[in-house]
Amino acid sequence: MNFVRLFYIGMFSSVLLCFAILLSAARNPEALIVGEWKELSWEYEMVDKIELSAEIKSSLSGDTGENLILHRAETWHFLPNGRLLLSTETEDMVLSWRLKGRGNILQLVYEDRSTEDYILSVLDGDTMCLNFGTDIQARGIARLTFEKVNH
Amino acid sequence: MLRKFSNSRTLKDNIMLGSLTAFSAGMVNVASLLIFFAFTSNVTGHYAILAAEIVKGNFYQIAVVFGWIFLFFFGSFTSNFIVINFNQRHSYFAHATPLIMEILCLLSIGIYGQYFYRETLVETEILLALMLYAMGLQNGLTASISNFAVKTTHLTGTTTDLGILFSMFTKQEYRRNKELIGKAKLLSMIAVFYVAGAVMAGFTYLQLGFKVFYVVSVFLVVVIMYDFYKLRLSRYIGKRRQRREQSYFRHIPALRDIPAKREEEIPAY
Repeated sequence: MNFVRLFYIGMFSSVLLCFAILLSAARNPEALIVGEWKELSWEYEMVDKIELSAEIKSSLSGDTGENLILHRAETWHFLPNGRLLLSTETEDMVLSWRLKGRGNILQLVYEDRSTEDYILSVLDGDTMCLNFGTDIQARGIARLTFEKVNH
Repeated sequence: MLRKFSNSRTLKDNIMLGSLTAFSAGMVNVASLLIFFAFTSNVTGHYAILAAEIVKGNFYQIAVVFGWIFLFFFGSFTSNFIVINFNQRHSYFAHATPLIMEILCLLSIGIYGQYFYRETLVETEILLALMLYAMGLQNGLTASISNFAVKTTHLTGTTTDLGILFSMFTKQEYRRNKELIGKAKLLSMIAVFYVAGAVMAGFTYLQLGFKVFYVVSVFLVVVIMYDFYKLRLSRYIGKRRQRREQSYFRHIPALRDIPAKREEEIPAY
């Protein structure tokens, strides 16, 4: 009886210990994303397999969502208070950002409350890759790659 | 639905329990998907994600997904622990307690989401963890009291079993087997109600937001109250019958001295 009790206490303690070790070894994506990111590329993932014409590309961007805004050559400045400054050469825009799921979904909220969801496929100290999320099960066809400007 | 245990359960008991709990699981899963972008009523996908995150070396995601899977496991562990330890004393309360715990979890999510949620990642992950624990509680309970016949939070096994059963029904000998027909009815009802719950959550989420968890809780309260009502009703009928027998025997001198059945002898379930 004592052995069984010890076994269960040991098992649950080990799980908690593993969880604590993993968390302490990791950086919270919310902290990792804060900073200034420069947009490097905006590409369609299917291009690897099939050469898409400009016409198909534009129809694809139309299909993925009417509210999708094509961010090109922008600087994305993620602030710790949940605000995001999008800067181009001509204008600046302020949005809200939040992470969902296990930290793998980036949701942008515009002033009119419309949202844009991206799958955060890569996030490390230098690089961030966002796939435009058309479906929770699919990775999305459009991919944005960023590099961190200020470390 | 909740009072009977294991092999003493009828097909009707299992269909009622399976349908209502599958409906609530479908609602929870779609609500979590729409609000938090993660599934909560099944863990197969989380195992695949865990493997993928291990390969990528994302420690934070490994910890989160590992924690979610463990909480689903722990929910099931808690349910069955309560059932096997308290079933002999009072089976209804032993079976209702995990559902009460599930309702408390879902109500906490609803209340927190409606009034306090600031959409930070930590909050999202904790609320998802609570939902996975609640679904573990539900799945553990239904599987435990139905002798593993009813599992309502995911449809992989259900779909597999339905495929097998429908292929068996191509042979006449199996089409006449009442047990197989009953099983097919049960599994079909679970699948239909799960999808119905999911669709309802999808439609109502935009209007209700986090209040959708109150609706799920109402369905679970129905499961608990149905049996509570039946329990009270069966006791009431038992007492009435006892009183009628006593008044009847009073008129027969030879039977007047037979001791009346004491109240504690009436099965309490």
